[in-house]
Amino acid sequence: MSLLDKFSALPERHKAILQGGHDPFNVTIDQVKSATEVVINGRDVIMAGSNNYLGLTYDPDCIEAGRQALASYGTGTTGSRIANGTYYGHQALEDNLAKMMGCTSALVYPSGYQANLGVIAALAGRGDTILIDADCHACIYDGCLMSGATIVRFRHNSPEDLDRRLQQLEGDGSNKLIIVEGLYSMFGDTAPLKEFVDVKQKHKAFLYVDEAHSLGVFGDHGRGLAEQEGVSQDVDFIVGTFSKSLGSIGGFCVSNHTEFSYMKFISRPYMFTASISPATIGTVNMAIDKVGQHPELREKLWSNARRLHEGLQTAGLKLCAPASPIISVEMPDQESAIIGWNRLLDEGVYVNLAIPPGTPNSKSLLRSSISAAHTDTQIDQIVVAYTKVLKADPSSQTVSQQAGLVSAAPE
Amino acid sequence: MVSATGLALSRIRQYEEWFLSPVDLTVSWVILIGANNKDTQDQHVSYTTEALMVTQETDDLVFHKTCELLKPYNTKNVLLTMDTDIATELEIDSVAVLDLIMEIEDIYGISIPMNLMADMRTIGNLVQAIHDLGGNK
Repeated sequence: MSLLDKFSALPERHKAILQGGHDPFNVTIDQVKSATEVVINGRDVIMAGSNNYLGLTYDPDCIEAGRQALASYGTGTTGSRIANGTYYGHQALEDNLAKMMGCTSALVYPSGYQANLGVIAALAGRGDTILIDADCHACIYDGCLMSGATIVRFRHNSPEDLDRRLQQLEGDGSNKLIIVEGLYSMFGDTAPLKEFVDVKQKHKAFLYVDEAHSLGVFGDHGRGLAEQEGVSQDVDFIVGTFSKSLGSIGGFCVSNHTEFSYMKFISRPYMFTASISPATIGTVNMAIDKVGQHPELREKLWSNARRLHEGLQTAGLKLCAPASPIISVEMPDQESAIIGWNRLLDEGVYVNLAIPPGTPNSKSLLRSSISAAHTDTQIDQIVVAYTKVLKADPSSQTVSQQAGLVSAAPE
Repeated sequence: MVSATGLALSRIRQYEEWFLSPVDLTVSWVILIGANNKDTQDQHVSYTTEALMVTQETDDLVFHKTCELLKPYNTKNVLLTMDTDIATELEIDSVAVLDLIMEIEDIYGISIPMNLMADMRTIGNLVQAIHDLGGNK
């Protein structure tokens, strides 16, 4: 078998995905009008799949902060911090982050993906054991594999299964690192963090929480789910991203462990990559201040999330989790998800198509992420579009059956 | 009188007849021979061989339980053997394989580290991993 033969099945799979008309994984957005409005194929579309939870991408203060940093420090750093130096803004951002998160140390990475890769691979190594929630994001899996530690996967959101597996490992002499997320990106469900903390303490393990989707969304200060659940001090490492509620790009880790500062000398995805650009530093620093100063953004986000969740539930759609800023509709199969996604776009609503193997339990989903910037009218339009597309036929046939693209399943 | 080894063989053959799907008997037999070489006293030979037979029986059951779990994924009705490549022959995606392994872990009360999974291509590899981790005791 040649090097490239393993790709031979992909064109056929891609062709099947294109069956509905548009390419769900390669949409060109011609124009971005606001945090919630884009132009696709010359048509106005409501953006309901951006993870722009607080709608800060067009915040005038964030834009101005980015503009000033760009003018003062230039377009890029052109190298890593260990080689080219730490700009004043890098340090200021880390100090600001640590303060916002109530931790002693913070370290910034160029992306959330690299933050997970860099922190996990630096923390754990051969002889250690990582226990990972089954539904964790791909970058967490990649970080675990990169670390060389023994990786044990436990059932999603099951402290009991985690406890059982830790019990099995009792006395093996390895350090244990438990990794979970706050808000899970596919179904929009949250982790039972208090229970995980109990298990962590029982087995003297370390707890690592990825708050990528929960930062700015939960807690009085917007620190994430650990804050909301009152367990911030029991979490050893919190990782997050700037690319969702903070409306920019980059990733970070915060911790109260004094040894965490050595991460700068051992975390390869931190050491051997260019540091985030001055404009990014500027916008993120301002966005962090906004999260702290404007709790009403969070209130609006949750009010919008509940409105959409209630609307879709009332329409009779099968939702994956209670209301949160991530609202996923479970589709019967991949084909109907693809057709549904295309029809929603034709109706002027952009959501995310999520299909196996990118989803837990081989589910096919139409995933929306709601923003504080959505108006009530937009949310109602999203509900109308979903209802029109997915509930057009009261006999509840799948969308693909309605479209005549696949035959009805046998009785 | 049937010797311990002979008894063991006859029981293996019995299983071979019970199960329609081919089972890799060769490897099991090497284990039995090895056990006989370790202990020369008849009583011990008998005991050791019997103990190993229990293990071997459960290995066969592990194989068949695994095949049962694979059934929903085996849409092309591929003949399942110890040599069947789970990912390529059954075309099961990587996440589904992880979920399948989790079901097996639940049944046997073990944890199969993900690190081992890169080398676990066939059903036989999976059965061996369960054996090595003591899941069939």
